[in-house]
Amino acid sequence: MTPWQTCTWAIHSAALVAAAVLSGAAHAEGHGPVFGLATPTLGKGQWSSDTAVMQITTAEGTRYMARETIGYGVTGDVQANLSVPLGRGGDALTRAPRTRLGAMMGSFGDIEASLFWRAHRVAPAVGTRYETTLILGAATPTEQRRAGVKVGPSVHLGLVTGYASRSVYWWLGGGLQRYFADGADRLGDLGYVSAVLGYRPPFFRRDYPNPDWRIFIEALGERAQRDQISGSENPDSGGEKLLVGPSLLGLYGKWGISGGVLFPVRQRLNGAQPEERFRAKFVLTYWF
Amino acid sequence: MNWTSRPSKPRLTSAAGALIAAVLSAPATADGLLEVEQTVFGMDCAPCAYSVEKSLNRLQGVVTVNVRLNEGKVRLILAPGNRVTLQEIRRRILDGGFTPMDGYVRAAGKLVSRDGKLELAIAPGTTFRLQPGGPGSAHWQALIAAPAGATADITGRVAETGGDPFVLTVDKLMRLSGAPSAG
Repeated sequence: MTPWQTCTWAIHSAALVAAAVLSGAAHAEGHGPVFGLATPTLGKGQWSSDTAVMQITTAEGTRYMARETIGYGVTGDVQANLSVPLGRGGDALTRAPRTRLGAMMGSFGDIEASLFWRAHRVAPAVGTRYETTLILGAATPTEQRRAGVKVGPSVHLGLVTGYASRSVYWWLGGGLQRYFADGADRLGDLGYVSAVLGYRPPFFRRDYPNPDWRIFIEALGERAQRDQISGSENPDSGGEKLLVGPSLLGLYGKWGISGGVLFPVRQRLNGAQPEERFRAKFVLTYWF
Repeated sequence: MNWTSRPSKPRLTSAAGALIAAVLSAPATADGLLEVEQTVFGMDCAPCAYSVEKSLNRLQGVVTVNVRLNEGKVRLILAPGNRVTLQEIRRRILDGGFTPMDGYVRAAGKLVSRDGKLELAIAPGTTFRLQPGGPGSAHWQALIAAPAGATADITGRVAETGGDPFVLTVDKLMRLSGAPSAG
C-alpha cells in the first residue's frame, strides 16, 4: 500500500466511523449474517444505517472496501435500501475477486438501490418466525473500469428463506447479479448461494434491554462468469468459490456490531487468477 | 344471565352487591385504555424489542412501554383520558413485522347496550363488547345489573382474533359508578 493509499484509507475509515457515531447512526446488516442472506426487514417507518468495512486478501495482495447502507421500512414487510461505496484502499488488485460486499449490500464500486419484500411470514410461537424474503436491486457503477473491464449497470435478484428464534437461526438463499454491457465489454454475471446457521448462547437470552449476542457459521458459494473485453471472453476471469467461516453479532438497544471471516474451502478459478486467501468484514449498525 | 335477557329490575346476589359497594369506593379513573399487556409472537431479538418499544412510545397518552422478549409480552401503561385504541397498538406491532396475539387489558368507560349486547365505550367510536369470564361471576352480575350509562373500570382478556369491536372477556370489575344500590 502506498502512503497516499494508506492516508486515503485512514481518512475514509475515520470519516465513516465518525459519521456513524456523530449521526447517532448505525442495524446490523439484516439480522446477523455478515456475508450471507437473511430474511428480516425493518419495521414500518424505521431507519437503519449499516457501515461496513471489508478486507479481501488474495495471493496478489489485500484490498479494503467500505460501504454505507441506509435502510427504510416502507411497511412492516417491505424495506428500501440505498448502498453506496465509501472508499477503497490497499493494493490495487488487477484481478479483484468478483463478489458483493455481503449479500445484502452492493458489490465493489456500485451504488445500489434495493427493495426487500418479506413475502411470507409466520410466527408460530413466542420469539419464533418462519419467513421468506425477495430481494430486488439495481446498481450503477462509480468507476469506468473494474479489473480492466468497462463496467455497466447491473440488476440483482435474490431470494432467502429461514427461521428466527430466541436460540437458533438459519437462512438459505441465493441470488444473481447480472451486468449489462458497456460497449463491447461486460462483467461476467455473479451467481451465489448462502447458508447461515446461528446460535444465541443461553447467557445472552436474558431479556431486553440486556446485550444480545449471536454466533454464526456462514457458507457462501459464488460462481462468476467470464468477463467480456472488446467482445471476447477473458480467459483469466470467472470461476467458482466456496467459502466458510464464523461470524459474530452483538446487539445492545439500537446499536449493533458484527464481524466475520470467510476462508475458501474450494476454488476453481478460470485461467491465471490469484487465489483468495480470506475475506473479513466488520459492520457497525444503528437503528434510528 | 346475559345482557340480552337482563330483567328490567335486576336482582343482585349478595356477592355482586358487596362487589358493587367495594368498587364504588375505589378511586375514580377517566375513560380510556389504562393498561394493556399484549402477547406478541415473532420477536426474537433486542432490535425487535427496541422497534416495538419505540413505535408504541410514540402514541400520545402512553406513559410506559415494557417489552419482555422471553415471554413475548408488551405491557403499556396509559394516561387516564387517553384516546389510544387496542386496534392502533396491534397495528403498530404488525407494522413492526410481528404478530399480535391475545391480550389482557384494563379499560374504563361507559356501559352501553348495542344490539342487545353489553359494551364498554371507552372513547367516541371505540368500544369493547363484553362477555362473562365464567359462569356465576359476581363481576359480570354486577355489570349486567348496572344501568346503561354507568361508568365501569374493567380488566379482561381480548382474543387474538380481534374483531370489531373487540370482545373483552371480563375478569375483574375494578370500579363501577352510577350503579343501583345493592339490595
